[in-house]
This record gives sequence, structure tokens and C-alpha cells, in this order.
Amino acid sequence: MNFFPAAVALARKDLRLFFRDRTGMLLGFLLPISLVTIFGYLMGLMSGDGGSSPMAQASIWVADEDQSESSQAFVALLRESPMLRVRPRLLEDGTLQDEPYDAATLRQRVIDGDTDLALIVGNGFADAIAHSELAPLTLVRDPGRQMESQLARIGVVQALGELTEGRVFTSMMAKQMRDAGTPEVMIQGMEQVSQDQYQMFQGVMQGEGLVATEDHAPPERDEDVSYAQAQAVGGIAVMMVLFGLTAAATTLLRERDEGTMRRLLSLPMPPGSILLGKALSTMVVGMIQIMLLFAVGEVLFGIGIWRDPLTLFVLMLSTVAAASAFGLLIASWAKTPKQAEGMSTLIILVMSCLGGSWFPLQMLDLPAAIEVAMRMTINHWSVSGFQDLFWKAQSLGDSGIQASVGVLWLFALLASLLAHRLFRRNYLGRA
Amino acid sequence: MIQAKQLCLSYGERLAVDHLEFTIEQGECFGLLGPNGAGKSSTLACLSGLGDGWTGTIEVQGKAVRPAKELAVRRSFGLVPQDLAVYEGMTARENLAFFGELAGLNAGERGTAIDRGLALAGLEDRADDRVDQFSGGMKRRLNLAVGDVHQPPVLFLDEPTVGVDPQSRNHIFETLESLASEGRTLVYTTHYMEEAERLCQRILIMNEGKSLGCGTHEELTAQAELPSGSTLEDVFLHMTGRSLRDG
Ligand SMILES: Nc1ncnc2c1ncn2[C@@H]1O[C@H](COP(=O)(O)OP(=O)(O)O)[C@@H](O)[C@H]1O
Ligand SMILES: [Mg+2]
Repeated sequence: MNFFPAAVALARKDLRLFFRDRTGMLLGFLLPISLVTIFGYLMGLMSGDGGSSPMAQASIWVADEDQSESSQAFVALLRESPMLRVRPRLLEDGTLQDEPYDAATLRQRVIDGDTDLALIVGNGFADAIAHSELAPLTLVRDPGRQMESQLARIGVVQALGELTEGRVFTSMMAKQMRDAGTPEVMIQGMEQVSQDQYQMFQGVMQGEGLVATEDHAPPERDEDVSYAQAQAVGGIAVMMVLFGLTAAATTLLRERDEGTMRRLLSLPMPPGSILLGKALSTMVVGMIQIMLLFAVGEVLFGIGIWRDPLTLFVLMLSTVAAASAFGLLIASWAKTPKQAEGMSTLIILVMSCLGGSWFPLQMLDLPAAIEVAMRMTINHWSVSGFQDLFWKAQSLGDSGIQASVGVLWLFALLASLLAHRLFRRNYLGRA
Repeated sequence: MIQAKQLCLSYGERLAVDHLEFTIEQGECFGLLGPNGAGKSSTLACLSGLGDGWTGTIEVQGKAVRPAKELAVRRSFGLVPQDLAVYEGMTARENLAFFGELAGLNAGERGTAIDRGLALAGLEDRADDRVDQFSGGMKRRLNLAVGDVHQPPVLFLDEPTVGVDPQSRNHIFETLESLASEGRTLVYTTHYMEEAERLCQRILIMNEGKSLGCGTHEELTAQAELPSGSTLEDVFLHMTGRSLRDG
């Protein structure tokens, strides 16, 4: 039989066997789907705010020692801050999820590492607010949590400003001017003006007037697309396809152990058909798998698969081709199925971690060596391709996507060539 | 018909086939008899063009088996491997159809080949059952039928009766005898003397990759310088020695 027809016949045989093995198929499809669901959901939770940026919230425990109307209003304002998750959590019915801790307990919890941030609203809070004096507020923090404590500080100051309609800023400024020896007339003048100009203070707090802001986003981007969830779906999909296709490709090893390989090699067809057949069948399985995963991503998280289906398809196909070639490389190299499983698990986990399957690494400032390592992974090119498509709303005409597609196919080509060499040595050489 | 010269195959240091020379005539059933590890399967691997680690020459009907690209040569033989080389997840019919297609049968030829194969294996009633539901004997019979699905002029059979019940063994024997009577050439490896004696006109006795003698029962008896009327077993043990074989 000729090269291509034989490869197609072999691929049909593999697919028939694959779809008959119910358990294997369930594992091959259900496991990835549940992982995508869980990761996508968690990414959404962690990033809050529509998933635009991971972890832009600080969790803060509050001890209200004052228990006044004023302090309670203040805590209520804190709860409204988009930057803070105030604990104990306030439930729908207006009750607290847990008993609040007192100040001493909270300090101990920070020391013990059970809590990273705590705010103590001291006795006399209401009095201080009423007399426009500095309120007794203490932020107890673990110095290891810089980012969260910055967020907390901003959230607290904003709430304080809102509670006092800006008077807190006026009095703070007055105190500083007084300390600096400013004549009382000027201070009173400042107080007079700013009392009426709370709006202005609010503006200053937001940085308005100091920094001009403009809002821009790719106009084609689907409004519901969440950065973190698109990342999670793409990342986990690539990882699961790598695992799935390596498992599919290593049926080559099983055929060698069980003897069908010997029979296949004795048949009147070019032996390369066996490798091509395996590549075709793994790619079909991979395409089904990855399409299912993105469909789940669309239904659950609205990652936006309908904006540019052609580009999505090309990216999927490139990813699947690279993953399939990787699987064949492992299968041609390994002496035993155990070896194949161990080596592929190791490489896939490292690639997934470095390549941004688990966490959007490209958001960080990476040392050059890691940056280079990242660029050597299948995951990186695939995940950034999907991000370019969903988040940057790019398409096949854009260089980012072209780079991803190009590198993935280059990877597929090189891995296939190497796999073919190893196949000749390890399968044909020792029949 | 088949001519092997200076055939050698080594796995690393070990010579599994050691300068074998033999000729197999058209229509004959040729036996390769030897204890476990003698190199019978390795010899069949060379004959069927597997691997490229061997040296020497093999010609089938005057055409070299190598380079392996010579698909026409391959079409002239079928291999029945020692391992059960069928897909457990597919039915008997599907296995026959699949290997028949790869062996080069077109859709029309396949239909008759499958029916013939099922009859050959005595599996007409179980044609559409998956192989993983078959007994050892049924799998062996299917293994044989699959190797013969394209009815090649030459059939290489590697211990095709290992581990089967007497009924299946008898079925396989009758099948092979009928193939032989059609004028097909059979190359049969075994470590059972009685099988070789019943089926094969000429036998090559091999051990540790080397040929110890080749010919009919009488010729082998003479080569071993044993009294005529000695059993094949006497000849075999005389040639290969009586120590235990563990691979
Ligand atoms: N793939 C292999 N790698 C290494 N040694 C092998 C391999 N296959 C067979 N051998 C060795 O070659 C010798 C001949 O094996 P084989 O041809 O299978 O013998 P037989 O079929 O007569 O039992 C044995 O010693 C066996 O251990
Ligand atoms: Mg053997």
C-alpha cells in the first residue's frame, strides 16, 4: 500500500480503538474539562473585577473597638471598597460569617501568620471624627505583604475621606501647616476653601488633574472577555493536549511490546506510514479535545471564541500539531512505556509552569535565563497566541499570532524529524 | 525460491543468527527447529525484511528482500508472528479487514478475503466479537488467518501453536496442511519435534544462532551419525545437547 493511504488506514484504526476505550476516552476528555473549569473559576475569583488583573484585592481583618455609629459607618465604607475584602465577611442576611476578633487577638494572628493585614479602629474614633482630629486607626501588617498593605492603605484613606466628606484631609493639612508655623489666618483660609471643595479632594485622591487618563482597548475585543480566564483556559488546554497526545502517541510503544508492530513492519507499505498514521490520529483526537475545552471556556467564562473562529482554528491546529509531534518524539525515544510516561510528565509539567499554563508569567519581570527558557516551551507560544487572539483581539494578519503559529509549526517540524530518526533506529533497526 | 546466504543478526554483542545458509523450495514446508533462544524468530525477522541490523543476502524468487522499499517482495509473503499480533479492541472481521487493506487488497478483494480468513480461523460465528473476548486458541487461529489474509505465496509461521488447546492445534495443523496442498511455501518454526515431523519435508535444526544440520528426517539422522530409524527427538537432542535451555 502507498504511503498516504496506509497512514490514513492506520489512523482510522487508532481512532476506532481510541473511541472504543470508554474509560480512556472519559479520562481524555472529562479530566481536561474539569481542570479548565476549576482553573478558570479560580482565576476569576482571584482576580475579582471581571478578571482584568490577578489579585488586585487585599484581604483585611477589622477590629472595631469604638463600636460607635461613626465607626460602623466607616467599616461599611471599607466593605464597599473595590480594593478590599473586609473580614469577617458580611453575609447576605446582614450577619457576619465569623465572630470578629479583638485587637489583641488580631495582633497575635498576624504574628502567627494566620492573618496578613488587620485594621484596628481604636476607642475614640467617633470623637476624633466629630472634632476633625486624627482618628485612632492602626494598620497591623506582615511586612512581607507589601502589595496588599499598599492597597489596604489606599482603601482605608479613601473610606476615611468619604466618611468625613474630606474634612480629615483638611484637618491633616491644617495640622501640618500649623507645625510648620504657618500664620493662623492662612490656615483658616485653607480650611474655609477646602471645606466647600470636597469634590476637589476626591479628585485629588483619584489622581485627577495630576495625571490625565485615557481609556483605550482593542475595539474588536468582546466586552465580556476576562484576561485571567482566557489565560487559564488557553493554558490548561495546551497542557492537557500535551498530556493527551503523548498518551495517544505512546500506543506506538504498546504496539511494539504486543507484537502488532512486527506485523505492521512486515507489511508491504513504507514504514514511515506508521509514524504518519500515528500523527494523524493523535491530531484528530487533539483537535476534538481542544475544541471541547474552548467550548467549555466559552460557555462558562465567555472567552470570546466567535470573534475570529478562523484564527482560533489555526492556533488550535498549530498547538495540536506541536503537541502531537512532541508525543511522537517521546514515543520514538522511549524504551519502555514507563520511561515515556516519566519523561513526558516531567517535561510537560516544566513546560507548563515556564510557559504560562498555570500563571500568566509574561506579566512578571523575568530574569533573562527564565525568559529564554520560557520561549523554548510549546506552552508559551500557544498561550500567548490565544491571549493575542482573545485579549488583544488580534487575528492572522498580526505579527504576534503569526509568530506563535510559525514557532509552533517549526517546533512540530523539528520534533517530527527527530522522531522519525529515532523511530528508524528504535523500531525499524531492532525488529 | 528463498535463498539465504551468510545470514547474521546481532543484538549488541550477542549473535542471534550466526552465518546461516539455506535454500527453501517452492511449495515446500520448511521447518526451523530449535530450543528457546536458538534464533528462530530472529531468522524469520530477517526473512520477512524486518529490521536493518542483519548482514548477508536473502533472495525471494530471485529478488532481494532489501532494501525494505521493495514492496513487491513483501507482498509475496505473510508473517504470522510469535506474539499475538492482532488488535484486542477490534473484532475478528475488523482485524482481517484492516490488515488486508494494508497488505494491498482492494475493497472488493477484501470481502472475499475476510470470509475466507474467518473460515480459515473457524471464527465465522464470532466474526463480530472483539478479540479481547476470545480464548487463547481463538486468538492464535485469528493470528494465523490475519497473516494469510492476502494469500501470499510464502507464509512465515513463528510457533503458531504455542499455548493452545489440542482442538485449536489440530485446526491449525489441518489449515496448514491444506495451504501446503495448494502449493504454498511455508516456513515453520517450532521447538516441538512432532510438529516439525508431521508438517515439514525438510528441517533445519538450529541452536545459538547456528545451523546444526539441515535436510529430511533421514538425512538429519545420517548427518548425526545415528542408526537409521532414530526418532527426530534423538537426532535433535544429539545435535543440541541435553543441558537445560532457559532462553
Ligand atoms: N530485541 C532483542 N534484543 C536483544 N536480544 C534479543 C532480542 N530479541 C531476541 N534476542 C536474543 O536473541 C536470541 C535469539 O532470540 P529468538 O530469535 O527470539 O529465539 P527463538 O525464537 O528461537 O526463541 C536470544 O538469545 C534472545 O535473548
Ligand atoms: Mg521465537
